Amino acid sequence: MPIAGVLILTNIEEAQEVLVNLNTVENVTTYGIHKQNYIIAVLEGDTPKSLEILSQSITNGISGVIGVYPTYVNYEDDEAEG
Amino acid sequence: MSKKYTRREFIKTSAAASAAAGIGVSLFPGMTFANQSGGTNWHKSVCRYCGVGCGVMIGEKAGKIISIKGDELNTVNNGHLCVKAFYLHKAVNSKTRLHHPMIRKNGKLVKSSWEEALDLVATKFNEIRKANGGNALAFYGSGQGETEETYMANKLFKGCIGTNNVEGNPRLCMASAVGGYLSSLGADEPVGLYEDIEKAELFFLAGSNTAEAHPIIFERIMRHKTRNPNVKIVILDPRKTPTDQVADLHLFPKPGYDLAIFNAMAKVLIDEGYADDDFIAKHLVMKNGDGVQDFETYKKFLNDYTPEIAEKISGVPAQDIIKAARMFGKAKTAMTLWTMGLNQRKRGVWANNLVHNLHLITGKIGVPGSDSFSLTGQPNACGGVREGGGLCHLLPGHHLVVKEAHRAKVAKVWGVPASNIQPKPGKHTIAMFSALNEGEIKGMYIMCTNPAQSLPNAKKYWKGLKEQFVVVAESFYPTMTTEYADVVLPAAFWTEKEGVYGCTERRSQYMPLVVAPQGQAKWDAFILRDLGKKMGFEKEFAKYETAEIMWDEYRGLTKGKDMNLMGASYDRLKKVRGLTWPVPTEDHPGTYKRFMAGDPIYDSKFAELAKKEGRRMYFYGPKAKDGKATVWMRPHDDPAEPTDSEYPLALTTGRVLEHWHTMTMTGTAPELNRAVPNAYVEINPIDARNMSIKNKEQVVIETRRGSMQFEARVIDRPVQGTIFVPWHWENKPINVLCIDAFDPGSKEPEYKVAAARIRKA
Repeated sequence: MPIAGVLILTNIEEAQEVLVNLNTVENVTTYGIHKQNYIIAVLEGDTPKSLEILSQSITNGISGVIGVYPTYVNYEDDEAEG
Repeated sequence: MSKKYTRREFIKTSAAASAAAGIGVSLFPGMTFANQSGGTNWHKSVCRYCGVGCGVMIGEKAGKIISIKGDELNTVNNGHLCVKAFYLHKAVNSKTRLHHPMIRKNGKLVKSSWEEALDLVATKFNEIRKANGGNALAFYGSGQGETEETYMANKLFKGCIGTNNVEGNPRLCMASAVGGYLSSLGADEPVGLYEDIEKAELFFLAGSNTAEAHPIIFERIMRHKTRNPNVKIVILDPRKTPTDQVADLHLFPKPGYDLAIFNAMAKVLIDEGYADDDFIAKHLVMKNGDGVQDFETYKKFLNDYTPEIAEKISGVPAQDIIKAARMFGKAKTAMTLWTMGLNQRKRGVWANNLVHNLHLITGKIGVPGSDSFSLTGQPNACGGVREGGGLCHLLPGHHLVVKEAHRAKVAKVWGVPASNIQPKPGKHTIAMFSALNEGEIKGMYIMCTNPAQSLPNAKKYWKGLKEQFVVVAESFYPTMTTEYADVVLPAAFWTEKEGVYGCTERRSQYMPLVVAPQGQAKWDAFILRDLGKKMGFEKEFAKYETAEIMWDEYRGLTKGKDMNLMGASYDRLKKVRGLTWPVPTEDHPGTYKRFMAGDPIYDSKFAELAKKEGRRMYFYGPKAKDGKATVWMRPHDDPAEPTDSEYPLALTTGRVLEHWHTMTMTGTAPELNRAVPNAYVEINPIDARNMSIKNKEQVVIETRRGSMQFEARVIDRPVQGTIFVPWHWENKPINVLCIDAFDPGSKEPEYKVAAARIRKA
């Protein structure tokens, strides 16, 4: 199961609301708001593409999100599952 | 706690830490993270997708790629990537990777050996050459190929076979930008670098959906705007896109009618005192079709483009044009970023010229934070094709086939008679495929691109692909082009080969070989080398045993040129995050701004002269005279196919975030296809109401080249009178409906405007 660390860029005034909304999304773990309008998050999906779809749904489905920028993607599917 | 849980949590923590590091935050002080853990070998490389040139770190374990992360040390992206990173690994291991050569027998492509396939290609190419001459053969390459690959193709076709019929798909996307830079500034490629983004007060995004097509550039702009609320963004685009969420002003022109807007902005800038008279007097010449003119003539020319007149031509309210001009003029620094919306036009070069004009007349060039900066669509369109000479009029290292001295210099390095290199340009892309249709070209080698789908008016050119001898070297199979191939050769893909990519900002970056090529796939440069040997050029290709040998020979040709890469050896490129030319020596750090202090060419040759003349820049490129840039008087010109009563809608095309080009890489993922399963047509709600078309209804788009059925997406995105279709899908190849008219200067086709009509299916 792929895992990605991402930076979610938001409008400053909506950052808190975006964080609250993100916390309701399955397979998303958040690590707070930083530098005013970046939310650090980890996305998990069944496949690399499901990660991409998840990130699209965040971009398009949550008001105030400007963009989702991965910094690390791990595909170590079998080994990750132990 | 189970081992499984521990491992997974560790990866999650590493992922979060990596994201935090991307913005200089430490989430877990003292903890060891992914780049030091688990036996993963990390390889510094460059992203495979667009032209931004993001640095990636490829995590490999036991010969398998297991992870990707942004390269925090790379100044292009500072560790951030766009969502395409999710797919980088998947593309390498796609089920559609081609693992063996194929030859068409009895109408079907069947598996063959390398020996049989290359023997067949060599024999057929030699037969064609002997019977019809070298110009009966052609090469069509890609802005995704490495510089070394294009270099081998150039040598084989231009230097050995003796034809300049060498083109690449950057002709379809960047040729107008090249023409604009050459004719306005005297030399190709931008003055500045991405680092101007963090110094700019205003961004003018013209014909660019930066948020979707160049997400990392967009993020840099956004990060900068967040920290500096006074930063403004003006958009010029006939379609509302995700980039709009940050726009301060959006101008919506009718597709193909924006030249008047640039001229009107220039008029306002001059009339309201925003022009830099000193810069104009010392650094610029004014020209029209009759030659050099004075500034007064330019001002008279602009009288034909008042904002009110521009409104009538473009549909953009005069007040918005004035507002945009004032924002541009008032800002201390400004960057214009553009891409296909300006380039893929019948007057793409003129559109580029008019963008440069705005920067030149205001002196917003050659200072930190100001530049007219073309964004590129493919990862090596600049490095491999523009710099590497992968077009019909070029030779490697910004040399030209028409110049005898250039031919002699390149021929000497190649070890071929200078007479082998033809003195006239070969056929540009549209002419080349037309000649294939007509049988004038009888054999074509296509590398790393899919012209059967991507050419404008594509169906017209299937005839030649079907009738002539066509070789396709590809990593993926099938494609629309392999459907017509006589031979298909399996090419090694990204991570399976080493080489250099040169991105938008003049930055050349090294990519390592990380894993072995899949199946029998081979590196394109070696395929071309081996083909050359089989065609009888054994001596000419004997020495190319490594990528480094090819690169060293190529960079030797750049010595003394404006794009000097002599300081960019493999040894050095393996250590650094790319180098921005000119970089003349191994101890030179690379150049931030060209044509001014700090540029080694300026410093050594032109600084003294510039000082004498009281100038801060000297445009020393091959097309500039006396070191001066040119302000061009470019009039309005209609698109090649204006709308009319018969075809009242303007059809424009573009990308969606989820797919890339002809989907050879992105099209095989079921999840993605479920997310964006089909092509569609965006229709403005007013147009839809007038035509009684409902959302999700099936409609037929008709142009003078054919018709195609799509699902209607009624949405407030395209300006009224315009429809938009993304171009990726093989089963809905919208380029079949696009016009193949092209810019007379750049020869780049006008994908962005065609007259169309819609009816219910």
